[in-house]
Amino acid sequence: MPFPSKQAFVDNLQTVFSQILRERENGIDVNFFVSSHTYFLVVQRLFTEFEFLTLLDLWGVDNLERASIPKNPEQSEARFQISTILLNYKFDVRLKITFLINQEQKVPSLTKIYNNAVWPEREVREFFGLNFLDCVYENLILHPATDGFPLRKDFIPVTVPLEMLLPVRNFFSSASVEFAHKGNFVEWLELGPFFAEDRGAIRILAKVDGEQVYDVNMDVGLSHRAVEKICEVTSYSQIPLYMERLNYHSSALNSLCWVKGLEDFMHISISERSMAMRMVFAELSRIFDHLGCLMRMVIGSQNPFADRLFLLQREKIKVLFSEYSGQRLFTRAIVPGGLSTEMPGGWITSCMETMIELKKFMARLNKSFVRNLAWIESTDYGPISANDAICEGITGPNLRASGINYDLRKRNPYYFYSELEFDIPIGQNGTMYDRFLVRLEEINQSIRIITQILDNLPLGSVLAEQDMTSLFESGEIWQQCHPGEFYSNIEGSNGELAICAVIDSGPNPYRLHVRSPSLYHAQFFSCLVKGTKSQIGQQALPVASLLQCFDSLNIIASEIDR
Amino acid sequence: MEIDKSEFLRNYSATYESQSFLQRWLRKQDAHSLSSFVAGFSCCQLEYQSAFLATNDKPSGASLIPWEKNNPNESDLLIIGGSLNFKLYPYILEMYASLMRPCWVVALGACAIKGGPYHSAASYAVMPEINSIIPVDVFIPGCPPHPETIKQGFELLRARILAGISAENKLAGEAGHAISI
Repeated sequence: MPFPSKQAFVDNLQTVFSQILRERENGIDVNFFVSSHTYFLVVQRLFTEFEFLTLLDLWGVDNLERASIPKNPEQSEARFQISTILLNYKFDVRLKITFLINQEQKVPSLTKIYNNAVWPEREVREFFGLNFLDCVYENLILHPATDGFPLRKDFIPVTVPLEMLLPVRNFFSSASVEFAHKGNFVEWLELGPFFAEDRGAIRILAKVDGEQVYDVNMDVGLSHRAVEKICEVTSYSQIPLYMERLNYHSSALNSLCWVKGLEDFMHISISERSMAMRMVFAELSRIFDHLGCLMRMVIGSQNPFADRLFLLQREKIKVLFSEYSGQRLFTRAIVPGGLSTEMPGGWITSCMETMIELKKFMARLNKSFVRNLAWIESTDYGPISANDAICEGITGPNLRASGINYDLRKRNPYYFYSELEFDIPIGQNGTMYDRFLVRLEEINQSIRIITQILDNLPLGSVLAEQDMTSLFESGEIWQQCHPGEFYSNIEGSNGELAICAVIDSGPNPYRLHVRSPSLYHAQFFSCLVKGTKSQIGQQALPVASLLQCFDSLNIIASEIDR
Repeated sequence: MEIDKSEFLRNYSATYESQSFLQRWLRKQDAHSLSSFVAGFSCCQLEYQSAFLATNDKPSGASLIPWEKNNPNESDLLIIGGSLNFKLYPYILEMYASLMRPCWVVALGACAIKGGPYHSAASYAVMPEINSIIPVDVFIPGCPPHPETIKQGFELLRARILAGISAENKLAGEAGHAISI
């Protein structure tokens, strides 16, 4: 590439598309405003010429009751607004494209360029009632009997009569597999929606031939809890409650994503000590989540007593949380302006002691799993190539297991991550074994981060300087900053977690969208089992490893459905 | 000589409702050999694990821990933890129908009991009340409930089984009602 640096690349992009440029946003490098006619062509050009190979996110907004609608020079006013986030991995440039559209018009579909645009587009269709060009989509998350489009502003919830709620059985639409294996005996294997391990409510339907899985289809939406809609009537300081429960394995990371975005948008500065303590909570959550993922993988290998080993380690982190706030899973530690309470006496010492114990446990895990031939053989399935990982929007440890060195803590460091010493583990083949190793090493690195922070903890207070709840309710804050949109992204435990919010002058956010990494991982799972075009001659997955492979992606159902 | 049954029962039975020694024996057996199916699809399951699996102290009796099964057809105790939405509702009914009889149901956490934090005016997806769908024996509140609370709830369930009270019989007009700890 002729561009020496990220800045040169962004400058070039801005001169080429200077007519449709929009003011800069938090978390976004380049911001475009296009018309619905040129949308597809612009995206195609960005894909081919500027190597924006990844579609990170796609969501819609209903501008019906919005006071400050952004003015689009390209286009007359319309009711709905659709935004897309694209990513160029080479220069780490995030690009946002927005266009307005009316209900009667059809939205151009991006599925011809990006494979992973299918599920986000299906979501836009069912939640906003917008139809896509050349694509007929069924409901992804909502029950087919649901009346109306929930994320529209004039939606009135109607109680569905319970007789209408029949189970959605025949979601397996593609008949291609049956055709391909016509001579053989093809069985249907239905898994879920309730599992003994904590994956959440999700259904997996597999087509099985003998001992091998040929195709998999997923049924999601069984734990849809309407978080995005509820957040539209919830005050800013209460939203961390819902964010923590999205991915309950890593509660602090989720609330950190929302609170950090809000503080950046409103220019609220926090003390150094609270920054450091937030990082401690975030890394503790990461360890907790990774231990859960490893536990599910190990249970999948028919190891009957493995779960207790991992649960005892997770218990130690829960005890740390409960020592801080009394709650064992959801601490509500991270609130706008700082932390909710001061550290209790002796908390830092007990945190250090826990880290030492965890370190010993990790050494034990290393000894029993890393060079264990039986373990290596049983987990040598489900490879994700680097090409697929980039094109399908896979992020986090799953991306790094495929050999791509990309971590937001290093690339776009927030708080004190740039001053700490830690390494990013990278896999080679992207198999289940590589994903296991990457998570194993990330726990070690998180322990390293926590011990470094606690050794050099800045002095001062962790509490907010002013009462944030009354500040948000009184409305004084809106005189300081004007309404707009923001995009906040952090390195979550199972991928890039992002929150896109539309802030209008009011006590609640106008629209809140969560980019859950699990959604894209779950979408890719059927391709992973089938084997993509770039992996000819791939081994078929055995039935016994199906759930283990699913767990190695660390998919949590409540995060997919929101 | 004919024994006055009511006199005998009042004096010698552990629970006054017992009809016969065999029935009492059966209840005792039920209470101490529960095989549970944990339909946990939310954070409450993590705390359930903490209550019964992640403890170093030895259990006072093997019966304290409900034996976990992976199949609802083989279990007589259903533990529901997590918010129920309209898409999940038919599967819950299906699962309840396939349980062994007699069966008991425990609702774990605020979400399962009444929607929890998701029971809001704006919400369109979450079922309002589990008790209107299937009869529930014990509600264990909390978001998520503390492991001690969960243990307490299971002691209550055991007492109910010994006393012969079941929410399942509520529909048939027999004695029984759901209680919250």
